[in-house]
Amino acid sequence: MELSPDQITIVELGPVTLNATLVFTWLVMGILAGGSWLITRNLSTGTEISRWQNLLEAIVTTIRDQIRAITGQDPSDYLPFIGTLFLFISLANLLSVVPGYEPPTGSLSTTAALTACVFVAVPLYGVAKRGFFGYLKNYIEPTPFMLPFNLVSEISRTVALAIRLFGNIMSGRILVGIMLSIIPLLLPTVLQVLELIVGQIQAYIFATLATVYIASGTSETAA
Amino acid sequence: MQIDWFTFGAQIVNFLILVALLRMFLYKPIVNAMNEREQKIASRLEDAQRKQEEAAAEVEDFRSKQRELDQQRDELLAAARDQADEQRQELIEQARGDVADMRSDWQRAVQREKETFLRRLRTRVSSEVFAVARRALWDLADTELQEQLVDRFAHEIKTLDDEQCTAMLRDADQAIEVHSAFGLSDAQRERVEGIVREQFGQSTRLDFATDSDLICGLALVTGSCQIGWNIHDYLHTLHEHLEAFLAEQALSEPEEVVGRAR
Repeated sequence: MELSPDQITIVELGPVTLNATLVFTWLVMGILAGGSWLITRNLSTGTEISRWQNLLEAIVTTIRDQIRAITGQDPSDYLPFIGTLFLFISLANLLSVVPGYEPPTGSLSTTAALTACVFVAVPLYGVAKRGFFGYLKNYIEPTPFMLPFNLVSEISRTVALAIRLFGNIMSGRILVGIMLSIIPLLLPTVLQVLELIVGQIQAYIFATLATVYIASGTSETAA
Repeated sequence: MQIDWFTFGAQIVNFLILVALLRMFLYKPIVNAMNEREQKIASRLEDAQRKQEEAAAEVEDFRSKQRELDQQRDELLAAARDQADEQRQELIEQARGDVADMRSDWQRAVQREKETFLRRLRTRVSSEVFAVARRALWDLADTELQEQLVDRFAHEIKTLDDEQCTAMLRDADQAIEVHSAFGLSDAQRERVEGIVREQFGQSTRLDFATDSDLICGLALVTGSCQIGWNIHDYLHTLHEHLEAFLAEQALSEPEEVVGRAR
């Protein structure tokens, strides 16, 4: 049993090896982008809207409300980044009920890639919002002596973010796999349901923490 | 448990692509649609608010117009009522005037009829009285009475004043006619001649004639002048007095009738 979907090779095209992580990532991307495209082709601006549009609007509105609640700022700038993080992780975890599917979030490469994006996005948003020096001031507050601690904190929280998501999803997979070998009836199903919930919670936690980090980078008062 | 760096890089690219795709196909259209709808709703609410205000203004306008109309109607009604009262009063006055005219016309007609009747009555009464008296005196008249009449005639002639005599003679161109109700006897004729000539002169010529209209008595007639004594004169005087009296009565009575009518 492989610990990571990276190790499952689907197709090999010369030097390039397409593992399960990439393939299922594309699947998730395809579902998200294709679904969105299908639904948003015919958007109604009137009072009568389709149920799919209603679903998307509910999702987008909820995400925007969450971002606004956390950052206290206009969510428009953060919505694509944070929203995509949440939707990707959420759908990737949700699809784990499909037999044969390996959640890409169970790969440390994926979670590290997402975290790397957050790690880059935080200073980008911060600089865009407060200016280069305004953002850098964050690291020497309250005193310049805090600079090393702030840097360590920046890196450690990023690593923690990646490990947390990876660990949760991977552990869930392994737990279900072990349970299947020990008690093949009933209990794995319950655990899988639990795993689904954990997957959604992790998606929420990941997105929320990313928002918090960005908010701390863009906020004037944040330490 | 290690990071596959190729996968790591590919996942970063994948994620960025996904961000771009979702931004294009999900967030932008959905947010735009929601904003557009919000704007529509806001504009509709604004529109509704404006319409409500307009409606309120129109309601107020309508109410004020209605009040105005009510007021105008009341005024018109009051004016019409006044006019009707006035007209009714005029009609009543006119009717009263007409009634008064008709009554006075009627009274005049009644008065005329009464006068006509009285006039006829008067004429009839006087002529009846005259006829009765004449008839009675005619029945009584005889020769003895004739004697007395001659005596009376003589007395009348003798008591004539000068003015009457002059008037008599001025009209007597040819002869003085002596009219009597009955034929006079010779003695009576002579006596009459004596009396007349004594008064008017001896040369006076006399013509004797019988005139039953005198009833009884004698009369000297010259042209338009007549002197003497006879019942006809009395009756004529009586007739005149009677007519005068009746005319006097007729004049006083209409005033009493009109006074009672008022």
